[in-house]
Amino acid sequence: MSSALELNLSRSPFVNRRPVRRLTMALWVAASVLLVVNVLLIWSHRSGSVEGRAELARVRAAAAREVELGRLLRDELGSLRLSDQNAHVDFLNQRIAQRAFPWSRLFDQLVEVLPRGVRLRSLFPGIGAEESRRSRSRRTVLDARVRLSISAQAEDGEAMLELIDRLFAHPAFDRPNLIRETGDGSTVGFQLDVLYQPDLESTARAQAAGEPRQGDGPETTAAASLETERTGSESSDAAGAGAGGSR
Amino acid sequence: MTAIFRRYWKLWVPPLALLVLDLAGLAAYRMLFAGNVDRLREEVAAEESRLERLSAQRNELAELVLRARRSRAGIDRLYDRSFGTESERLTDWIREVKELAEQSGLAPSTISYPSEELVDYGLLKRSFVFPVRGSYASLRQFINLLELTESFVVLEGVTMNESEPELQISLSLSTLFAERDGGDGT
Repeated sequence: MSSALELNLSRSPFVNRRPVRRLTMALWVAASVLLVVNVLLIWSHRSGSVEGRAELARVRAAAAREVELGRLLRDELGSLRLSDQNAHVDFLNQRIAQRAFPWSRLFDQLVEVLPRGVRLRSLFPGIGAEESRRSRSRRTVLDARVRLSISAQAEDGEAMLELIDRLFAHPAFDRPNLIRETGDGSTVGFQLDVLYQPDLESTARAQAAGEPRQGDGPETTAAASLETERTGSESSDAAGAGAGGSR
Repeated sequence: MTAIFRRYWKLWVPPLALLVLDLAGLAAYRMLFAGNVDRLREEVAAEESRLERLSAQRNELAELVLRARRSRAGIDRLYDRSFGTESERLTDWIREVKELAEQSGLAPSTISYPSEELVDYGLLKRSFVFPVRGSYASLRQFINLLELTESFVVLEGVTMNESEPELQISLSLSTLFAERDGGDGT
């Protein structure tokens, strides 16, 4: 017979369910955390995706606007016929340079170089010709030069050569080129070309400062100014040369 | 031990199933969607840099158009204010040159007026060529007056011959006239 102390009062035999409970709890916690993480990820993806698409649409619309504006501007540039207009501006700048040519200063400088035995017969500045030769190149301080055609009469050949030496020596003149000489026994008639730098002082200043010249025309007292500048085109040179000073 | 898990499967299988589903969902997200937002961001960045390029190009074009318009306006102004048409300026120009010559003591007796059409530029070049007798001082004064005048007068060349007591001078002047309003030869 068993004693009262040995009585087993449990309804059923003892079963240790704690491992099951622990595992179940752990699984619930992990599943819940992962669920929250998944929901957050999907939420963030959804909102990021919506914002990104909206941003992309906005940027694409802006790009389309830019493309359209660019097309309109290109059409306008096409209608302006830039190359023709640039040629026109070059031509007008040459005329302005002719108008602004400092004849008085040239005469003063010629007086400095003409020897006693030489007399001028004719004087023609060839502004257009020199310009066209360098129209496509970058214009610098040296481009202000003008080719002068001089015809003169000398008492003898020595006086003529002295004039050429003086032209070489004078800062306003460069590369004198004797073209023809004819003697009639007592005098010598001759023709020469020389490069003349009309705006010597301001050119020298600009050169010292290393600045390119804006215009080709020297200073003048004449009136209205022309603000015609060459306009760079996509295909050709974009180096705009300013107008030749004032008229 | 396993018997008890088997016995109480209803307790732990549901959270395990949920966990598996969560993991499957996470894996699917990583495989299918995780890069989408990054790709979208890259796409936006690429479009933004394209937009920047396009804006820069448009600005350059706008600047070019502005310069071209300014240039066109300058040409029009020159044609309008300085050149004018022949009917507007010719007689005034001739009168002015004669007055300046007389003021300098050079009175031209014979004058020729050759003209040349500059069709490409919508201009007419009219010259004023005259021989005259006078001193070197008169010539310098005339040239100075020409430099000071407001009109568009170009001295193209000077020819001088000595003939006692004065010089025999031949002067070639020119001016430009617009052939039509705006002078759009281009």
